[in-house]
Amino acid sequence: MNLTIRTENLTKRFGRTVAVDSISLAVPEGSIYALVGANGAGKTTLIKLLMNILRPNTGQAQVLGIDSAKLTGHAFNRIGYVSENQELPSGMTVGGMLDYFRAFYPSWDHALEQQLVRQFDLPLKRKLKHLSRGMKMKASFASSLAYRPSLIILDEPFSGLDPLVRDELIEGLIERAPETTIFLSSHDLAEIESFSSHVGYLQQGRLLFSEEMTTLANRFRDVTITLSNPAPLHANLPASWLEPQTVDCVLHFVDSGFNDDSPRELAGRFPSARDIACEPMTLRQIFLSIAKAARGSQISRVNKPSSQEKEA
Amino acid sequence: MKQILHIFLKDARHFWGEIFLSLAITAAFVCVTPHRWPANFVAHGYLDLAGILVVLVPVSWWILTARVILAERLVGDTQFWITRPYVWSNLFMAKLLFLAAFIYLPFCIAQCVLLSEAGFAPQSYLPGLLYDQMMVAGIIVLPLAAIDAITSSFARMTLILLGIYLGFLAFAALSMLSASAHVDPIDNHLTFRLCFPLAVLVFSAAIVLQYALRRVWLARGVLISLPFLLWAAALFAAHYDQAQFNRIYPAVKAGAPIQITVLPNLRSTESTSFQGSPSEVTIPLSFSMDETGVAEGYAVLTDAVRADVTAPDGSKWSSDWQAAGGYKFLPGEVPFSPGFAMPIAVYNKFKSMPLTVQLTLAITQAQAVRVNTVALATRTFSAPEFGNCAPETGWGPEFGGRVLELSHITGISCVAALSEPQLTFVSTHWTNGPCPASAGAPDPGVLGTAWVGSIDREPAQFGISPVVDAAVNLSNRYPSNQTGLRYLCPGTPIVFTQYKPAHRMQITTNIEGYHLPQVSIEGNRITISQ
Repeated sequence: MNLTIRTENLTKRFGRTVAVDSISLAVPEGSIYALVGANGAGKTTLIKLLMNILRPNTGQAQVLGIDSAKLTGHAFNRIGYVSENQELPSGMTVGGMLDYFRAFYPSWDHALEQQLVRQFDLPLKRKLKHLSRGMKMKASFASSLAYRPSLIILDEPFSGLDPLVRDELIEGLIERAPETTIFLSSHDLAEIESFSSHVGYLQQGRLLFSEEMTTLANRFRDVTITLSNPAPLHANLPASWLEPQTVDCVLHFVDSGFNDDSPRELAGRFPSARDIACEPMTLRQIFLSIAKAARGSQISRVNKPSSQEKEA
Repeated sequence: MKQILHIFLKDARHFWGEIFLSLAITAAFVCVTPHRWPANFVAHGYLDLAGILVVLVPVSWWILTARVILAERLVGDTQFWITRPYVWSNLFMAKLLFLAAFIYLPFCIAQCVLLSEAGFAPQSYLPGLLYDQMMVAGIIVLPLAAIDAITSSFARMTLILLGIYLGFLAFAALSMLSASAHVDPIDNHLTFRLCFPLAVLVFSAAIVLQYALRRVWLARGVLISLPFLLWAAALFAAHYDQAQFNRIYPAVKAGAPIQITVLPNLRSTESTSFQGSPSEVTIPLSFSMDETGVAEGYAVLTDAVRADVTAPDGSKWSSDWQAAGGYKFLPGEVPFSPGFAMPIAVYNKFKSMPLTVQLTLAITQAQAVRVNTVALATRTFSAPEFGNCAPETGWGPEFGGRVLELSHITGISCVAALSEPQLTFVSTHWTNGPCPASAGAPDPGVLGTAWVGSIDREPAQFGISPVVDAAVNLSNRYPSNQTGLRYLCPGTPIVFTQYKPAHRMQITTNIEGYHLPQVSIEGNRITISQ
């Protein structure tokens, strides 16, 4: 499997604060990788490290096969970067900006540029400083997609945008997906669930997991077991059970290591259960349970369980 | 190259307003400045305007430099260009090209136009023009660019400039407070020769570091180190200059170009104020002397003086080389009063003893290399190898209670190209009465002389205008009885004798049984009686 982004023990500290803590990450070529996490989790810092905007304290990253510390100049011919915080040449018009950037990219596709301008309904003659936030984002998208980059990196691209603009941008992005790798950060789970192929979760600078979306969705289940009689919680519950709690005869938890054998194993563990319900979870539900578990120091339980753990 | 031009053209389009403003100010400067020159002097209003424009030209450069560098600012992590295929060397060259096109080129053209306006052929002064451009770059543009490179916005850059300005003021105030009252330092050429390239190097390093690496604190560290480096270089230069005196001015073995006779000091009382602590004050000591023996075709200049004082008990004190008053001797006997400054602590040690003072003068024997005689014209006239001059026609319609006709010439004013002229002795004759109808001064007239220029001139002196005033303050301008006026009549010969250094040497004079003057200090005033 070709990797577009690979990091090894990437760490970034600001004074005593560890913003990115020994992150090892692999983003396969052609994937749409969503990096999620709460505000302040370290998503933007990680992206800035990948883009050589910041330098890591330890560890290293490779982007399109290039050491991220050497990512300058022509290396950006193949990378499109859009960030919610990124400044644009505000004195230029939208058309002026596209004209200006066009000369930098040998692979600039003028037809695609025109298509994006139409698709995003960009006002070419208006100055960037006079555009709304949504329009600026669309202009930034157009200027970063028109040269058909091999990698598109988006830092909170949909943050604070109205649903219409958000959908337009996602549509534009999905159209480019077959020919590129997309790496985006977001804390809006609903919007990325629909189109991401991979997901990574950052919590306080640490990567809790990083896997394919389908795998993640398959291994998380919202489990409700109705018992015949009220029973107390056992002390040695499986590590993959998050937030276990009982109310009268009902035991409820999130199983982060669910697989095909899980219903049978549950039936064996609770022979007197009147009902065992294992419901699929939305990404939002998964992350809420992870976040709650992390608060309760159950961070280690959210990783994919190893075979040894399963056996235990 | 394509990327360089692309960025350059973007900046040129984007900052056309700033460019226009800067060019307009430069053009106004070129139009107004000639009115300051004596030949064109019209009214004081032009003087004021030219003075304002001299300030506005660098201010426009400041704005232009800041705008173009901050367009792709180097500080921060949200700039659009840092994730685009910008090659740092191309960006750097594009900014350099912009500064060359819209600061240096207009400035160079302005200087050439001004030189032409003043009657000088610019092509004859190319080394000087380049030297001046280099100094303007090193003293104005490069520091501005370096500060732009380490700041994130125009406002911050302005604040830093303000801070530096206030820092300079504080430093100057502290220097004045701690400075010894009467020590005139010798001209320290090495300080500039060492500090200027050092500053250029540090500013350039900070800029290139920022463009290449965008390591803001590294670049800031380099710039912050500059004052300390300059201080160290200045200390080294001052020490080196003192140490080099014996090499530059070897002790004369035989045939000193002048003879010095020590005269008894006249009784006098002088009172001056001083700044700083009374315990750090220095006492100015001077000696009456006569100088003779300057050969025909030569002049002798006193460049520096040092003293070695020996007391009867064998204790000694030696001064550093100090400025010697800048005396210039021509053939004939001339009284003069060289002196040196002695720290109050040394004075207190020696004040009650008869002393032996060995006074050593560092002198330059200058040879007259060119004599040009020019007849005074009623309009601008050229003094070859000196500059262009014009007759002064007074300070107003009325002077000394008498109406002064504009045709009455009361002196000459000259301008030189890029730097003051080579040291020149100017001599002519005044007339006490009205000028005769025919050309020439009434015989014999009164001699008027002036020294103008420098014996060791640089190719150019730092300035926005390439035309430099060369003031010719002729002696005997006013009659001793202060009645009436003296004039220069059209056609009067004016002799310009140019000198160049021939030899430098030290000559020594011993003064035996010297008693230090009485000194009293009250408040910040020092009174010296001898």
